[in-house]
Amino acid sequence: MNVAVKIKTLLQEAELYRSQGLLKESIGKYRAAADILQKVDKVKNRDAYLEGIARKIRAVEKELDAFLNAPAAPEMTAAVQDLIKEKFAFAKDADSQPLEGAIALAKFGQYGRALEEFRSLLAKEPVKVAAAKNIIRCHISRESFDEGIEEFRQWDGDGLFSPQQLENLRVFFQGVLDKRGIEKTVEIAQSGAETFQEIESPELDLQLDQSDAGQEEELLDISSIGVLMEDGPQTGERVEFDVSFQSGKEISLLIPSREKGMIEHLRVGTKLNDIEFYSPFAMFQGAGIVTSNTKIATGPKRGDFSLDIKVTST
Amino acid sequence: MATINLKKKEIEAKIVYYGPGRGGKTTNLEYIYKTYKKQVTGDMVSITTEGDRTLFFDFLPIGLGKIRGFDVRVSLYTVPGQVQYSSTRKLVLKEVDGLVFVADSLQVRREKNMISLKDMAQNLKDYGLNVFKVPLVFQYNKRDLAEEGFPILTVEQLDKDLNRQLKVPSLPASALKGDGVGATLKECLKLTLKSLKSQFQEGS
Repeated sequence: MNVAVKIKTLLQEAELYRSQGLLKESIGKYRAAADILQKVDKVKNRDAYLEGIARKIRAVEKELDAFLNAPAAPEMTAAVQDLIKEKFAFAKDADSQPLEGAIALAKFGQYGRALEEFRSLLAKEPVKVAAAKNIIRCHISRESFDEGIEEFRQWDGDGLFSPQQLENLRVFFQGVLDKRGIEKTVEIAQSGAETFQEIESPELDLQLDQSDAGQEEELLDISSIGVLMEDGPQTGERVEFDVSFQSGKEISLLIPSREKGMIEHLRVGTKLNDIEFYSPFAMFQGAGIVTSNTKIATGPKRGDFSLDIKVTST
Repeated sequence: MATINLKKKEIEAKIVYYGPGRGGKTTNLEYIYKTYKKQVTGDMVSITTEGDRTLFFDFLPIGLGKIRGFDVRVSLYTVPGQVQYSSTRKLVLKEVDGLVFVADSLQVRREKNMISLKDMAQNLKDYGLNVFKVPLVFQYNKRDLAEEGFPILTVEQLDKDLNRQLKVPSLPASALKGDGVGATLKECLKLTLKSLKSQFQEGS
Protein backbone atom coordinates (compact mmCIF):
# COMPACT_ATOMS: atom_id res chain seq x y z
CA MET A 1 0.00 0.00 0.00
CA ASN A 2 1.16 3.49 -0.84
CA VAL A 3 2.59 5.16 2.27
CA ALA A 4 0.37 8.18 1.94
CA VAL A 5 -2.71 5.98 1.68
CA LYS A 6 -1.57 3.91 4.64
CA ILE A 7 -1.12 7.00 6.81
CA LYS A 8 -4.46 8.38 5.69
CA THR A 9 -6.16 5.07 6.54
CA LEU A 10 -4.57 4.99 9.98
CA LEU A 11 -5.67 8.55 10.68
CA GLN A 12 -9.21 7.73 9.57
CA GLU A 13 -9.26 4.70 11.82
CA ALA A 14 -7.97 6.81 14.70
CA GLU A 15 -10.81 9.27 14.17
CA LEU A 16 -13.34 6.47 14.00
CA TYR A 17 -12.14 4.83 17.18
CA ARG A 18 -12.21 8.20 18.89
CA SER A 19 -15.79 8.75 17.77
CA GLN A 20 -16.64 5.32 19.18
CA GLY A 21 -15.06 6.16 22.51
CA LEU A 22 -12.27 3.64 21.91
CA LEU A 23 -9.66 6.09 23.06
CA LYS A 24 -6.71 3.77 23.60
CA GLU A 25 -7.21 2.25 20.17
CA SER A 26 -7.43 5.75 18.71
CA ILE A 27 -4.12 6.79 20.28
CA GLY A 28 -2.55 3.57 18.97
CA LYS A 29 -3.56 4.38 15.41
CA TYR A 30 -2.35 8.00 15.64
CA ARG A 31 0.99 6.78 16.95
CA ALA A 32 1.28 4.20 14.18
CA ALA A 33 0.62 6.94 11.62
CA ALA A 34 3.24 9.19 13.24
CA ASP A 35 5.79 6.35 13.27
CA ILE A 36 5.40 5.77 9.55
CA LEU A 37 5.53 9.46 8.80
CA GLN A 38 8.75 9.83 10.75
CA LYS A 39 10.42 7.13 8.70
CA VAL A 40 9.61 8.76 5.38
CA ASP A 41 12.10 11.37 4.30
CA LYS A 42 10.65 13.19 1.37
CA VAL A 43 7.39 14.47 2.67
CA LYS A 44 6.50 18.06 2.29
CA ASN A 45 5.57 19.73 5.59
CA ARG A 46 6.35 16.54 7.51
CA ASP A 47 6.98 18.39 10.76
CA ALA A 48 3.68 20.18 10.47
CA TYR A 49 1.87 16.87 9.91
CA LEU A 50 3.67 15.32 12.86
CA GLU A 51 2.77 18.27 15.05
CA GLY A 52 -0.85 17.93 13.93
CA ILE A 53 -0.89 14.25 14.89
CA ALA A 54 0.79 15.01 18.22
CA ARG A 55 -1.94 17.58 18.92
CA LYS A 56 -4.58 14.95 18.17
CA ILE A 57 -2.88 12.46 20.48
CA ARG A 58 -2.74 15.03 23.27
CA ALA A 59 -6.43 15.77 22.84
CA VAL A 60 -7.40 12.09 22.98
CA GLU A 61 -5.11 11.54 25.96
CA LYS A 62 -6.88 14.39 27.70
CA GLU A 63 -10.22 12.70 27.08
CA LEU A 64 -8.80 9.44 28.38
CA ASP A 65 -7.45 11.13 31.51
CA ALA A 66 -10.83 12.73 32.15
CA PHE A 67 -12.40 9.30 31.91
CA LEU A 68 -9.85 7.60 34.13
CA ASN A 69 -9.83 10.31 36.78
CA ALA A 70 -13.52 11.10 36.90
CA PRO A 71 -15.54 10.04 39.93
CA ALA A 72 -16.78 6.51 39.29
CA ALA A 73 -20.36 7.34 40.07
CA PRO A 74 -21.93 10.72 40.56
CA GLU A 75 -24.57 11.16 43.24
CA MET A 76 -27.93 10.10 41.85
CA THR A 77 -31.34 11.43 42.70
CA ALA A 78 -33.21 9.87 45.61
CA ALA A 79 -35.73 8.42 43.15
CA VAL A 80 -33.03 6.59 41.18
CA GLN A 81 -31.45 5.41 44.42
CA ASP A 82 -34.80 4.03 45.53
CA LEU A 83 -35.11 2.25 42.21
CA ILE A 84 -31.68 0.68 42.62
CA LYS A 85 -32.77 -0.62 46.02
CA GLU A 86 -35.94 -1.99 44.54
CA LYS A 87 -34.44 -3.55 41.41
CA PHE A 88 -31.28 -5.03 42.85
CA ALA A 89 -32.40 -6.51 46.14
CA PHE A 90 -33.53 -10.05 45.55
CA ALA A 91 -33.88 -11.55 49.02
CA LYS A 92 -37.36 -12.32 50.22
CA ASP A 93 -36.98 -12.03 53.97
CA ALA A 94 -37.43 -8.76 55.78
CA ASP A 95 -33.93 -8.59 57.23
CA SER A 96 -31.72 -9.42 54.30
CA GLN A 97 -33.76 -7.55 51.68
CA PRO A 98 -32.83 -4.06 52.94
CA LEU A 99 -29.26 -5.22 53.40
CA GLU A 100 -29.10 -6.28 49.76
CA GLY A 101 -30.63 -2.96 48.74
CA ALA A 102 -27.96 -1.07 50.65
CA ILE A 103 -25.23 -3.22 49.10
CA ALA A 104 -26.64 -2.46 45.66
CA LEU A 105 -26.49 1.27 46.40
CA ALA A 106 -22.86 0.91 47.40
CA LYS A 107 -22.08 -1.10 44.28
CA PHE A 108 -23.45 1.73 42.21
CA GLY A 109 -21.18 4.10 44.11
CA GLN A 110 -23.93 5.71 46.16
CA TYR A 111 -21.90 5.50 49.35
CA GLY A 112 -23.59 8.30 51.26
CA ARG A 113 -27.04 6.80 50.99
CA ALA A 114 -25.65 3.28 51.42
CA LEU A 115 -24.01 4.30 54.70
CA GLU A 116 -27.32 5.68 55.97
CA GLU A 117 -29.03 2.43 55.09
CA PHE A 118 -26.33 0.23 56.63
CA ARG A 119 -26.36 2.31 59.83
CA SER A 120 -30.10 1.83 60.16
CA LEU A 121 -29.52 -1.93 59.96
CA LEU A 122 -27.13 -1.96 62.91
CA ALA A 123 -30.17 -2.26 65.14
CA LYS A 124 -31.21 -5.52 63.50
CA GLU A 125 -29.50 -8.43 65.20
CA PRO A 126 -29.43 -10.90 62.29
CA VAL A 127 -27.72 -8.48 59.91
CA LYS A 128 -25.86 -6.06 62.15
CA VAL A 129 -22.39 -7.63 61.68
CA ALA A 130 -22.86 -7.75 57.92
CA ALA A 131 -24.06 -4.13 57.97
CA ALA A 132 -21.03 -3.10 60.01
CA LYS A 133 -18.64 -4.85 57.62
CA ASN A 134 -20.25 -3.05 54.73
CA ILE A 135 -19.95 0.28 56.55
CA ILE A 136 -16.23 -0.46 56.81
CA ARG A 137 -16.11 -1.30 53.11
CA CYS A 138 -17.87 1.95 52.24
CA HIS A 139 -15.28 3.91 54.24
CA ILE A 140 -12.50 1.99 52.51
CA SER A 141 -13.98 2.72 49.07
CA ARG A 142 -14.39 6.38 49.94
CA GLU A 143 -10.96 6.41 51.53
CA SER A 144 -12.53 7.95 54.62
CA PHE A 145 -10.33 5.80 56.84
CA ASP A 146 -10.31 8.09 59.87
CA GLU A 147 -14.07 8.44 59.77
CA GLY A 148 -14.32 4.66 59.61
CA ILE A 149 -12.04 4.21 62.61
CA GLU A 150 -14.05 6.81 64.52
CA GLU A 151 -17.25 4.96 63.69
CA PHE A 152 -15.69 1.71 64.85
CA ARG A 153 -14.75 3.40 68.16
CA GLN A 154 -18.37 4.45 68.59
CA TRP A 155 -19.49 0.83 68.16
CA ASP A 156 -16.92 -0.10 70.75
CA GLY A 157 -18.19 2.54 73.17
CA ASP A 158 -21.88 1.88 72.54
CA GLY A 159 -21.65 -1.80 73.35
CA LEU A 160 -23.51 -2.49 70.15
CA PHE A 161 -21.60 -5.70 69.52
CA SER A 162 -20.46 -8.58 71.67
CA PRO A 163 -16.71 -8.64 72.39
CA GLN A 164 -16.31 -11.47 69.89
CA GLN A 165 -18.26 -9.65 67.18
CA LEU A 166 -16.26 -6.51 67.82
CA GLU A 167 -12.99 -8.41 67.57
CA ASN A 168 -14.23 -10.01 64.37
CA LEU A 169 -14.91 -6.54 62.95
CA ARG A 170 -11.60 -5.16 64.19
CA VAL A 171 -9.66 -8.00 62.53
CA PHE A 172 -11.64 -7.50 59.36
CA PHE A 173 -11.08 -3.72 59.31
CA GLN A 174 -7.39 -3.99 60.17
CA GLY A 175 -6.92 -6.71 57.55
CA VAL A 176 -8.37 -4.56 54.79
CA LEU A 177 -6.31 -1.53 55.87
CA ASP A 178 -3.11 -3.59 56.01
CA LYS A 179 -3.78 -5.12 52.65
CA ARG A 180 -4.10 -1.69 51.10
CA GLY A 181 -0.92 -0.54 52.82
CA ILE A 182 -2.69 2.02 54.97
CA GLU A 183 -0.76 2.56 58.17
CA LYS A 184 -3.60 2.99 60.60
CA THR A 185 -4.47 0.90 63.60
CA VAL A 186 -7.92 -0.18 64.64
CA GLU A 187 -8.06 -0.81 68.37
CA ILE A 188 -10.62 -1.92 70.88
CA ALA A 189 -10.69 0.13 74.04
CA GLN A 190 -12.56 -2.37 76.13
CA SER A 191 -10.73 -5.18 77.87
CA GLY A 192 -11.42 -8.85 77.43
CA ALA A 193 -11.43 -9.05 73.68
CA GLU A 194 -7.77 -8.73 72.99
CA THR A 195 -7.03 -12.35 72.24
CA PHE A 196 -7.62 -13.49 68.73
CA GLN A 197 -10.53 -15.84 68.52
CA GLU A 198 -11.77 -17.89 65.72
CA ILE A 199 -14.46 -15.97 63.91
CA GLU A 200 -17.86 -17.27 64.73
CA SER A 201 -19.82 -18.85 61.97
CA PRO A 202 -20.96 -15.97 59.83
CA GLU A 203 -24.36 -14.50 60.11
CA LEU A 204 -26.06 -13.35 56.99
CA ASP A 205 -23.13 -11.57 55.50
CA LEU A 206 -23.49 -10.17 52.04
CA GLN A 207 -20.61 -8.08 50.95
CA LEU A 208 -19.82 -5.18 48.78
CA ASP A 209 -17.05 -5.86 46.29
CA GLN A 210 -14.32 -3.30 46.09
CA SER A 211 -13.73 -3.73 42.39
CA ASP A 212 -15.83 -0.79 41.31
CA ALA A 213 -13.31 1.51 42.86
CA GLY A 214 -10.61 -0.11 40.78
CA GLN A 215 -9.13 -2.24 43.52
CA GLU A 216 -8.48 -5.91 43.29
CA GLU A 217 -11.77 -7.71 43.13
CA GLU A 218 -12.65 -9.39 46.38
CA LEU A 219 -14.28 -12.69 46.93
CA LEU A 220 -17.59 -13.17 48.58
CA ASP A 221 -17.22 -13.78 52.29
CA ILE A 222 -16.22 -17.40 52.59
CA SER A 223 -17.28 -19.32 55.67
CA SER A 224 -15.59 -22.60 54.82
CA ILE A 225 -13.85 -24.42 52.02
CA GLY A 226 -13.57 -27.99 50.80
CA VAL A 227 -10.16 -28.93 49.41
CA LEU A 228 -9.72 -31.96 47.20
CA MET A 229 -6.48 -33.42 48.55
CA GLU A 230 -4.02 -34.35 45.84
CA ASP A 231 -1.33 -35.64 48.16
CA GLY A 232 -0.91 -37.25 51.58
CA PRO A 233 -3.05 -39.66 53.60
CA GLN A 234 -6.34 -38.21 52.37
CA THR A 235 -5.54 -38.17 48.67
CA GLY A 236 -8.72 -38.05 46.62
CA GLU A 237 -10.87 -36.92 49.55
CA ARG A 238 -12.47 -33.51 49.90
CA VAL A 239 -11.51 -32.12 53.30
CA GLU A 240 -13.49 -29.23 54.75
CA PHE A 241 -11.97 -26.39 56.74
CA ASP A 242 -13.58 -23.41 58.46
CA VAL A 243 -12.23 -20.05 57.41
CA SER A 244 -11.00 -18.10 60.41
CA PHE A 245 -10.20 -14.88 58.59
CA GLN A 246 -10.51 -13.45 55.13
CA SER A 247 -9.06 -10.39 53.53
CA GLY A 248 -9.98 -10.13 49.88
CA LYS A 249 -8.66 -13.16 48.11
CA GLU A 250 -6.57 -14.35 51.02
CA ILE A 251 -8.11 -16.71 53.50
CA SER A 252 -6.76 -18.15 56.71
CA LEU A 253 -7.59 -21.51 58.19
CA LEU A 254 -6.94 -22.87 61.64
CA ILE A 255 -6.06 -26.55 61.48
CA PRO A 256 -5.92 -28.61 64.68
CA SER A 257 -2.62 -30.21 65.63
CA ARG A 258 -4.16 -33.67 65.25
CA GLU A 259 -4.17 -33.09 61.48
CA LYS A 260 -0.38 -32.85 61.43
CA GLY A 261 -0.12 -35.66 58.89
CA MET A 262 -2.17 -33.69 56.43
CA ILE A 263 -0.53 -30.34 57.16
CA GLU A 264 2.79 -31.70 55.99
CA HIS A 265 1.30 -32.02 52.54
CA LEU A 266 0.12 -28.42 52.49
CA ARG A 267 3.52 -26.78 52.30
CA VAL A 268 4.01 -23.20 51.15
CA GLY A 269 3.69 -23.11 47.38
CA THR A 270 1.39 -26.13 47.17
CA LYS A 271 -1.21 -25.56 44.48
CA LEU A 272 -4.74 -26.53 45.41
CA ASN A 273 -6.41 -27.07 42.09
CA ASP A 274 -9.87 -28.02 43.25
CA ILE A 275 -11.40 -26.01 46.05
CA GLU A 276 -15.08 -25.57 46.80
CA PHE A 277 -15.80 -22.25 48.46
CA TYR A 278 -18.85 -22.05 50.68
CA SER A 279 -20.30 -18.61 51.35
CA PRO A 280 -23.54 -18.01 53.20
CA PHE A 281 -25.46 -17.73 49.97
CA ALA A 282 -23.43 -19.39 47.27
CA MET A 283 -21.06 -22.22 46.59
CA PHE A 284 -18.48 -21.93 43.87
CA GLN A 285 -15.32 -23.65 42.76
CA GLY A 286 -11.82 -22.43 42.21
CA ALA A 287 -8.16 -22.89 42.96
CA GLY A 288 -5.57 -21.48 45.33
CA ILE A 289 -2.03 -21.65 46.52
CA VAL A 290 -0.69 -22.11 50.06
CA THR A 291 1.15 -18.92 50.99
CA SER A 292 1.89 -19.61 54.64
CA ASN A 293 1.88 -22.61 56.93
CA THR A 294 2.73 -21.74 60.51
CA LYS A 295 2.58 -23.64 63.76
CA ILE A 296 0.97 -21.43 66.40
CA ALA A 297 3.47 -21.01 69.24
CA THR A 298 1.42 -19.19 71.87
CA GLY A 299 -2.11 -18.67 73.09
CA PRO A 300 -5.09 -20.99 73.33
CA LYS A 301 -4.49 -22.40 69.83
CA ARG A 302 -0.88 -23.30 70.60
CA GLY A 303 0.24 -26.34 68.63
CA ASP A 304 -2.40 -25.87 65.95
CA PHE A 305 -1.53 -24.65 62.50
CA SER A 306 -2.42 -21.43 60.73
CA LEU A 307 -2.63 -21.91 56.99
CA ASP A 308 -2.98 -19.03 54.54
CA ILE A 309 -4.29 -19.61 51.07
CA LYS A 310 -4.34 -17.12 48.23
CA VAL A 311 -7.29 -17.76 45.96
CA THR A 312 -5.96 -17.72 42.42
CA SER A 313 -9.14 -18.37 40.51
CA THR A 314 -12.87 -18.82 41.08
CA MET B 1 -35.12 -16.66 37.86
CA ALA B 2 -38.31 -14.95 36.75
CA THR B 3 -40.77 -13.86 39.39
CA ILE B 4 -44.48 -14.48 39.30
CA ASN B 5 -46.85 -11.65 40.07
CA LEU B 6 -50.07 -13.41 40.99
CA LYS B 7 -52.00 -10.19 41.41
CA LYS B 8 -51.22 -8.97 37.90
CA LYS B 9 -51.14 -12.50 36.46
CA GLU B 10 -47.71 -11.77 35.07
CA ILE B 11 -44.37 -13.46 34.90
CA GLU B 12 -41.58 -10.95 35.21
CA ALA B 13 -38.43 -11.99 33.37
CA LYS B 14 -35.08 -10.28 33.02
CA ILE B 15 -33.00 -10.00 29.88
CA VAL B 16 -29.52 -8.52 30.12
CA TYR B 17 -27.43 -7.08 27.30
CA TYR B 18 -23.84 -7.98 28.07
CA GLY B 19 -20.60 -7.30 26.23
CA PRO B 20 -17.45 -5.20 26.15
CA GLY B 21 -17.59 -1.47 26.78
CA ARG B 22 -18.44 0.64 23.74
CA GLY B 23 -19.77 -2.38 21.89
CA GLY B 24 -23.28 -0.99 21.39
CA LYS B 25 -25.37 -2.37 24.26
CA THR B 26 -26.75 1.02 25.18
CA THR B 27 -27.42 1.82 21.52
CA ASN B 28 -29.46 -1.39 21.29
CA LEU B 29 -31.60 -0.50 24.25
CA GLU B 30 -32.05 3.09 23.19
CA TYR B 31 -33.18 1.93 19.77
CA ILE B 32 -35.64 -0.57 21.27
CA TYR B 33 -36.99 2.05 23.63
CA LYS B 34 -37.47 4.53 20.80
CA THR B 35 -38.78 2.12 18.16
CA TYR B 36 -41.05 -0.17 20.14
CA LYS B 37 -42.68 2.56 22.24
CA LYS B 38 -46.00 0.77 22.42
CA GLN B 39 -44.44 -2.23 24.06
CA VAL B 40 -42.40 -0.23 26.53
CA THR B 41 -44.08 0.19 29.88
CA GLY B 42 -42.66 2.96 32.00
CA ASP B 43 -39.59 5.09 31.68
CA MET B 44 -36.10 4.14 30.73
CA VAL B 45 -33.88 4.52 33.77
CA SER B 46 -30.27 5.44 33.23
CA ILE B 47 -27.72 4.99 35.97
CA THR B 48 -24.70 6.87 34.80
CA THR B 49 -21.18 5.95 35.68
CA GLU B 50 -18.33 7.78 34.00
CA GLY B 51 -17.99 6.57 30.44
CA ASP B 52 -20.69 3.98 30.76
CA ARG B 53 -24.26 3.48 31.76
CA THR B 54 -26.61 0.92 33.20
CA LEU B 55 -29.98 1.21 31.53
CA PHE B 56 -33.20 -0.58 32.17
CA PHE B 57 -36.85 -0.45 31.27
CA ASP B 58 -39.78 -2.81 31.15
CA PHE B 59 -40.97 -4.28 27.92
CA LEU B 60 -44.11 -6.17 27.04
CA PRO B 61 -43.42 -8.65 24.27
CA ILE B 62 -46.35 -9.12 21.92
CA GLY B 63 -47.25 -12.24 20.05
CA LEU B 64 -45.07 -14.63 21.95
CA GLY B 65 -47.91 -16.19 23.87
CA LYS B 66 -48.60 -16.73 27.53
CA ILE B 67 -47.18 -19.14 30.03
CA ARG B 68 -49.88 -21.04 31.92
CA GLY B 69 -52.26 -18.16 31.31
CA PHE B 70 -49.82 -15.55 32.59
CA ASP B 71 -48.58 -12.61 30.51
CA VAL B 72 -44.84 -12.21 30.33
CA ARG B 73 -43.31 -8.87 31.16
CA VAL B 74 -39.63 -8.45 30.46
CA SER B 75 -37.17 -6.05 32.01
CA LEU B 76 -34.34 -5.19 29.66
CA TYR B 77 -31.01 -4.23 31.19
CA THR B 78 -27.59 -3.25 29.98
CA VAL B 79 -24.52 -3.67 32.08
CA PRO B 80 -21.69 -1.18 32.25
CA GLY B 81 -19.13 -2.78 29.96
CA GLN B 82 -15.99 -1.03 31.16
CA VAL B 83 -13.64 -3.32 33.01
CA GLN B 84 -13.67 -1.29 36.21
CA TYR B 85 -17.39 -1.85 36.79
CA SER B 86 -17.04 -5.56 37.34
CA SER B 87 -18.98 -5.57 40.56
CA THR B 88 -21.88 -3.54 39.17
CA ARG B 89 -21.97 -5.73 36.09
CA LYS B 90 -22.19 -8.82 38.22
CA LEU B 91 -25.03 -7.35 40.25
CA VAL B 92 -27.06 -6.54 37.14
CA LEU B 93 -26.61 -10.11 35.97
CA LYS B 94 -28.19 -11.54 39.08
CA GLU B 95 -31.39 -13.51 38.46
CA VAL B 96 -31.07 -13.15 34.71
CA ASP B 97 -33.42 -15.17 32.48
CA GLY B 98 -31.99 -14.40 29.06
CA LEU B 99 -28.85 -12.83 27.63
CA VAL B 100 -27.83 -10.92 24.55
CA PHE B 101 -24.08 -10.74 24.16
CA VAL B 102 -23.28 -7.71 22.03
CA ALA B 103 -19.90 -8.34 20.45
CA ASP B 104 -17.96 -5.59 18.73
CA SER B 105 -17.09 -6.50 15.15
CA LEU B 106 -14.10 -4.16 15.04
CA GLN B 107 -10.89 -6.13 14.73
CA VAL B 108 -9.21 -4.09 17.44
CA ARG B 109 -11.88 -5.25 19.91
CA ARG B 110 -11.43 -8.95 19.27
CA GLU B 111 -9.71 -9.68 22.54
CA LYS B 112 -12.13 -7.49 24.49
CA ASN B 113 -15.03 -9.58 23.20
CA MET B 114 -13.43 -12.75 24.43
CA ILE B 115 -12.52 -11.27 27.82
CA SER B 116 -16.06 -10.02 28.28
CA LEU B 117 -17.57 -13.38 27.37
CA LYS B 118 -15.30 -15.11 29.85
CA ASP B 119 -16.27 -12.56 32.48
CA MET B 120 -19.95 -13.21 31.78
CA ALA B 121 -19.50 -16.97 32.06
CA GLN B 122 -17.65 -16.56 35.34
CA ASN B 123 -20.28 -14.23 36.79
CA LEU B 124 -23.02 -16.64 35.79
CA LYS B 125 -21.09 -19.46 37.42
CA ASP B 126 -20.82 -17.47 40.63
CA TYR B 127 -24.62 -17.32 40.65
CA GLY B 128 -24.83 -21.06 40.04
CA LEU B 129 -25.81 -20.61 36.38
CA ASN B 130 -24.24 -22.37 33.44
CA VAL B 131 -23.50 -20.30 30.36
CA PHE B 132 -24.38 -23.35 28.26
CA LYS B 133 -27.87 -23.45 29.73
CA VAL B 134 -28.94 -19.82 30.02
CA PRO B 135 -30.83 -18.57 26.93
CA LEU B 136 -28.20 -16.66 25.01
CA VAL B 137 -27.97 -14.88 21.68
CA PHE B 138 -24.91 -13.29 20.11
CA GLN B 139 -25.20 -10.03 18.28
CA TYR B 140 -22.24 -9.11 16.08
CA ASN B 141 -22.60 -5.37 16.07
CA LYS B 142 -21.11 -2.57 13.97
CA ARG B 143 -21.28 -4.55 10.72
CA ASP B 144 -21.90 -1.24 8.91
CA LEU B 145 -18.36 -0.11 9.57
CA ALA B 146 -17.15 -2.50 6.85
CA GLU B 147 -18.82 -0.27 4.29
CA GLU B 148 -16.62 2.55 5.45
CA GLY B 149 -13.55 0.44 4.83
CA PHE B 150 -12.63 -0.25 8.41
CA PRO B 151 -11.16 -3.56 9.49
CA ILE B 152 -13.84 -5.71 11.01
CA LEU B 153 -13.96 -9.37 11.91
CA THR B 154 -15.91 -11.69 9.67
CA VAL B 155 -19.02 -13.33 11.08
CA GLU B 156 -17.21 -16.66 10.71
CA GLN B 157 -14.29 -15.37 12.76
CA LEU B 158 -16.60 -14.05 15.46
CA ASP B 159 -18.46 -17.34 15.52
CA LYS B 160 -15.17 -19.16 15.83
CA ASP B 161 -13.94 -16.87 18.61
CA LEU B 162 -17.07 -16.75 20.67
CA ASN B 163 -19.62 -19.29 19.58
CA ARG B 164 -17.59 -22.37 18.74
CA GLN B 165 -18.65 -24.23 21.85
CA LEU B 166 -21.85 -22.46 22.78
CA LYS B 167 -23.45 -22.84 19.36
CA VAL B 168 -26.25 -20.37 20.08
CA PRO B 169 -28.00 -18.12 17.56
CA SER B 170 -25.85 -15.27 16.28
CA LEU B 171 -27.08 -12.26 14.35
CA PRO B 172 -25.28 -9.46 12.54
CA ALA B 173 -26.34 -5.95 13.45
CA SER B 174 -25.70 -2.26 13.10
CA ALA B 175 -27.35 -0.97 16.23
CA LEU B 176 -26.75 2.66 15.35
CA LYS B 177 -28.92 2.21 12.26
CA GLY B 178 -31.25 -0.21 14.00
CA ASP B 179 -30.36 -3.10 11.71
CA GLY B 180 -30.64 -6.42 13.50
CA VAL B 181 -31.69 -4.91 16.82
CA GLY B 182 -35.29 -6.11 16.71
CA ALA B 183 -34.29 -9.50 15.33
CA THR B 184 -31.79 -10.02 18.13
CA LEU B 185 -34.31 -9.14 20.80
CA LYS B 186 -36.95 -11.34 19.21
CA GLU B 187 -34.57 -14.30 19.10
CA CYS B 188 -33.61 -13.81 22.71
CA LEU B 189 -37.24 -13.44 23.78
CA LYS B 190 -38.09 -16.64 21.95
CA LEU B 191 -35.36 -18.59 23.72
CA THR B 192 -36.15 -17.02 27.07
CA LEU B 193 -39.85 -17.78 26.80
CA LYS B 194 -39.07 -21.34 25.80
CA SER B 195 -36.78 -21.74 28.80
CA LEU B 196 -39.33 -20.19 31.16
CA LYS B 197 -42.06 -22.45 29.84
CA SER B 198 -39.97 -25.49 30.49
CA GLN B 199 -39.04 -24.20 33.98
CA PHE B 200 -42.65 -23.56 34.89
CA GLN B 201 -43.71 -26.92 33.55
CA GLU B 202 -41.02 -28.65 35.58
CA GLY B 203 -42.09 -26.68 38.62
CA SER B 204 -45.74 -27.59 38.30
